[in-house]
Amino acid sequence: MRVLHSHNIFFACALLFSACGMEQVKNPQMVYDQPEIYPDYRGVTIPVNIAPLDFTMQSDSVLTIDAVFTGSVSGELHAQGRQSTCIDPNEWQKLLQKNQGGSLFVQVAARFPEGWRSYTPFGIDISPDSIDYGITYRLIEPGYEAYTKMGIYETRLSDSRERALIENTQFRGCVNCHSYLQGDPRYMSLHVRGDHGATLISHPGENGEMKAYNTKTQETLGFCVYPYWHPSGRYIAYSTNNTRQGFHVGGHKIIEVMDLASDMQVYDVANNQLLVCEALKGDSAFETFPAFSPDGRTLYFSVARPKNYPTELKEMYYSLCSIAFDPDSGTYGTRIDTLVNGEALRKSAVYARPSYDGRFLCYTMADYGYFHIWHAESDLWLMDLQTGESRPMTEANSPDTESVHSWSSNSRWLVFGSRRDDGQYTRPYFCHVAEDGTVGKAFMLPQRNPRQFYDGRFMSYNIPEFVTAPVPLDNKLAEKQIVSDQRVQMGVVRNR
Amino acid sequence: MTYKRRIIANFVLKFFGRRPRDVETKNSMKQLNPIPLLTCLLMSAVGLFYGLLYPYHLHYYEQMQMFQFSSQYFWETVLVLGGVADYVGRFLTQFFHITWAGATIMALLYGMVYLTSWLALQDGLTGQNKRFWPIVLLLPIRYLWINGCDENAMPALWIALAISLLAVFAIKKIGNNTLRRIVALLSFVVLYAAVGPLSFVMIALMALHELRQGDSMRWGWAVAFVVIALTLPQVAHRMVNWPLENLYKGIHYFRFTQVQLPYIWVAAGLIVVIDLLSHLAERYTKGREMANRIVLFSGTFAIIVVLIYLGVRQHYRPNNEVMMMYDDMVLNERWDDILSAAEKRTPKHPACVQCINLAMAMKGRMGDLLFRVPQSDAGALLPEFTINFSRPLTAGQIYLNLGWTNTAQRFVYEAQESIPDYEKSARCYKLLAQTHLARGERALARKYLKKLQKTLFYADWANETMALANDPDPKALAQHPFYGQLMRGAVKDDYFFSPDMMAMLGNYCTTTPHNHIATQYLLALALVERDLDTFVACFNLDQYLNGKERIPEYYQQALALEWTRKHQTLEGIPYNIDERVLDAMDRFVTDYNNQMPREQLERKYFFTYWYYYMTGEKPAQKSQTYESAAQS
Repeated sequence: MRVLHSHNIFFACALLFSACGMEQVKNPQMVYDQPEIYPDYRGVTIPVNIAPLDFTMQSDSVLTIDAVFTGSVSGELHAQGRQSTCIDPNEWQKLLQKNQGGSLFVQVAARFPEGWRSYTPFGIDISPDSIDYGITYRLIEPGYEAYTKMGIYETRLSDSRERALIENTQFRGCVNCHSYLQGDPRYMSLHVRGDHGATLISHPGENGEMKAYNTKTQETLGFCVYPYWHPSGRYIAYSTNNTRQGFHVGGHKIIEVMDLASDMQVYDVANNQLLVCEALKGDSAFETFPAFSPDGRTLYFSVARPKNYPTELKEMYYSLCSIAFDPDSGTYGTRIDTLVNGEALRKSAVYARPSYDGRFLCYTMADYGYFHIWHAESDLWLMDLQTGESRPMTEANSPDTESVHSWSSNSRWLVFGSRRDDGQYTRPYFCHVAEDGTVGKAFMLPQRNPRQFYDGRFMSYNIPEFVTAPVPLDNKLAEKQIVSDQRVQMGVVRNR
Repeated sequence: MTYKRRIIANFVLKFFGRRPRDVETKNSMKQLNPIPLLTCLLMSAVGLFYGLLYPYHLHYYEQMQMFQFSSQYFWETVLVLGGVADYVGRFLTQFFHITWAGATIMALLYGMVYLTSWLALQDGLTGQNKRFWPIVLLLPIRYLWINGCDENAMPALWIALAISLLAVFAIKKIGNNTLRRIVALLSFVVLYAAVGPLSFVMIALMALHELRQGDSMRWGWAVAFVVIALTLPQVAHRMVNWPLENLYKGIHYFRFTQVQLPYIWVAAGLIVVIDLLSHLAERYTKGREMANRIVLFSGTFAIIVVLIYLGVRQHYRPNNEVMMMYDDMVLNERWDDILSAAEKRTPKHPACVQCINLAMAMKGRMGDLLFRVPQSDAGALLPEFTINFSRPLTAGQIYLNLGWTNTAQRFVYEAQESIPDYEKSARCYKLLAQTHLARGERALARKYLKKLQKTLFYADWANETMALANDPDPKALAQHPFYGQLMRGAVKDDYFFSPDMMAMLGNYCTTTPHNHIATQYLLALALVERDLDTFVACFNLDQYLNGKERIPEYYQQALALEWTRKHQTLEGIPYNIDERVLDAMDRFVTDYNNQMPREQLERKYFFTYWYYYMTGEKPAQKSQTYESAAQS
């Protein structure tokens, strides 16, 4: 895969392109190591329709960076820039199309004050599996209690263009917990907190009209929080969480989020009713992060026994469980199955997300608790739903936090948040999951000048979710609905 | 007079609006142009106000933002409605780091608004109208100044107003009616985007100007101006993610984007009204001498000056200035200055008391001075977090000096997150870089330092610290006087921040016994909480204090009190208590038991620990100072 190119060929290429206004790579000193680049795109697997993987050198003293991308099938692309590689987007797309299923070999040279250095080439695999139109996420400073400007944003993956879907400057509040039906943005649930708290739901059944709901009822614990759409579009599973935060005075961790109580219920969109399951309600267990199976007949969730905080916090182990759900009648099964026993493992498994082809279940595992974004030890795990076996996704994981993941609509790509960059600011990473469960090395969301972009962005990418098309959110209408304080009250049906 | 001197004299005369001597006539008084003189007076008054009465307000402004010399910052700022005025305002605000530079800039801003308002109005005015109305134009300045008394009034508003008024002056110069009107309309769109809704002033003045023209189209154009003014925010609302309300009243004129003081609109409205009145006056008084001109001019001037004085005095915020002063002194570690300031005038606000307590601890004098300032509760020592953008900053400094890096980081991060105009703070970034470095998070520290490297006043520090952050040798950090101390004093046990400060501090002091600042805080906390058992237990454990020749005054008082509570008499007390303290204690007990009237007791013992302990009275309610206590 990683072939060391002939120096002469590289040098000839560099000479050829220098005629087009690029600097000539002169008398490079050979370095027999792969270049230290940012983001680390060495050996990653990328989709055929991803934006150019521009990169910079890790060293700040680099004056010019030069890269030649050679396709394993055909084609070549030469890029050069002072701060990043400045790949031509059109040429890049053509090169990926020509080489899908193959690889790119990247020969990098960098000019330092003392002269050029040329590095051992590295490879990039191009998967023929395309990736969805884009991702949406919340951008928020990873703070404690207070929050400043934030919003839900969308980035188109073919060119990394970002647009704001809704921002809290419009109404002063907090937006989060956005969810779509397997990436279909016509079905959307968006939770708003603060003085104008509401859950905004839109779906084609109401001609796409967005409504603001009051999800808090007398019979349930509180507002509906973590959502997951049923594949039919008729239901949305929500958890309700009564949370508290703790702030570490010592040690490496700084924040812990704990549930004081949490329950789970399913919202029947057609009848405006919350379907409450007695087995999933009550103080004896904390249920959270629900997710429907692709056939809509199983509801996955995480559950833990209540503990005394803060003394027993580190024994708060969440297990991955499931319960049957009948979409025709809107009723729950009576048996709860345990998929991953957190107490037995003395670990905490949360955020189950089944692939839409029904093959895998991805979740995160950490030492304790359920809010893994603040746990550096949190890693992604992949369960094969045919065998029930789980394994850590080592190829995608890092020594720092991996959490909040989402499947692409074709189930071949995962987007997840990782703090490997600096330990605090979550960045979106993508990894390929082949049909046989082989996981490719993860890559960071490309940017035109990644160093400048990510250094300058002091916000975390929170809950990245794939979308198959631009989100049709009229943010002025949403603003109006949020500010109006007119809410549709959800009803409740118990004992289902 | 030599030729050279005459040239200079004429230049000076010209500057003050007087005709050069050679052509001076006996009507020179009539020709006096008051603008330069009034501008100079105004700027001097404003400069002195900010330089002498509001120096820490200026520093506060500077600390609540982080101007960066980068294209990313430029575009992020100017692409918001009114962003150009905001960008210029932020650029100027960074110089508030230096008090008199800030005062000068504020004086220039006021002067600029005053001058441009005159430039915008003066067209068409002649004779005495040209001398009278500049005096009246000081009236809008009154409201701007009142607005400026609030530390949340942003410099962008002065800039927005000045630019809008300057545009009026420039556009009025265009002689061709149609061209002028088209330029006015286009300029309004541009100005609205660049400086925000204060550009409505421009449209109002231009509408009045057009109404004064003689052609038949004037009403149509004036109406068009107003319609544009009313509809432009509606159009903008489709393009930006701000509430419509903000697009009518501005985003960056006040730090709280959803709140705004009415004064800027009063000022803007007055400029328009004065324009209307001055031109009406011109129309009806043209060619006629005003009766009692000197009385009218000087009377108007005097009334406006008095109005300005009364307005500013009413809205001047000395308490906020004092709080900002203490906070600034803590930031700059001016411990002696804090103690001497407290000695001159004891502040009552808990935020100031927090600073004084820290200064006492830093100077190792908590045991001698603690109850010389009003100790209301534990919060005056170790504050709990409240969502606010200024008070947690001071609290963060306390925790940083205490060695609680995580807590300091939390308080400062949250303070920054709470800045209502979404700005970042160079002060916060600096402290966050420090805490991350002390926590060994070099990548994060570098992230903050990179931003600070793009600032003017923090770049040197950032460059030095960046070298430290990049140093691969761990000893460099460990042996650094500041970071080394923070790393050695780091909280070793992992527990959550809780309102039970005593438990947290006790735990910390047990694991980090060499931290004498923390020890002082622990003892002070026990005293303030009237927990003498804990105080004595902690005192006995503290090797540092036990090794000292002299026990601090308040510790002596507390130890004596604790002993008498258990032994009835002071005989056999195992501590080295001064005879003076024992005698005073005897007198206090006698007086207290004899039910001495409260006033007398207070006069004699107000600043003793015994009085605090026995009466339960919070000295915060008193207005005594060190000096008055010493006299009593």
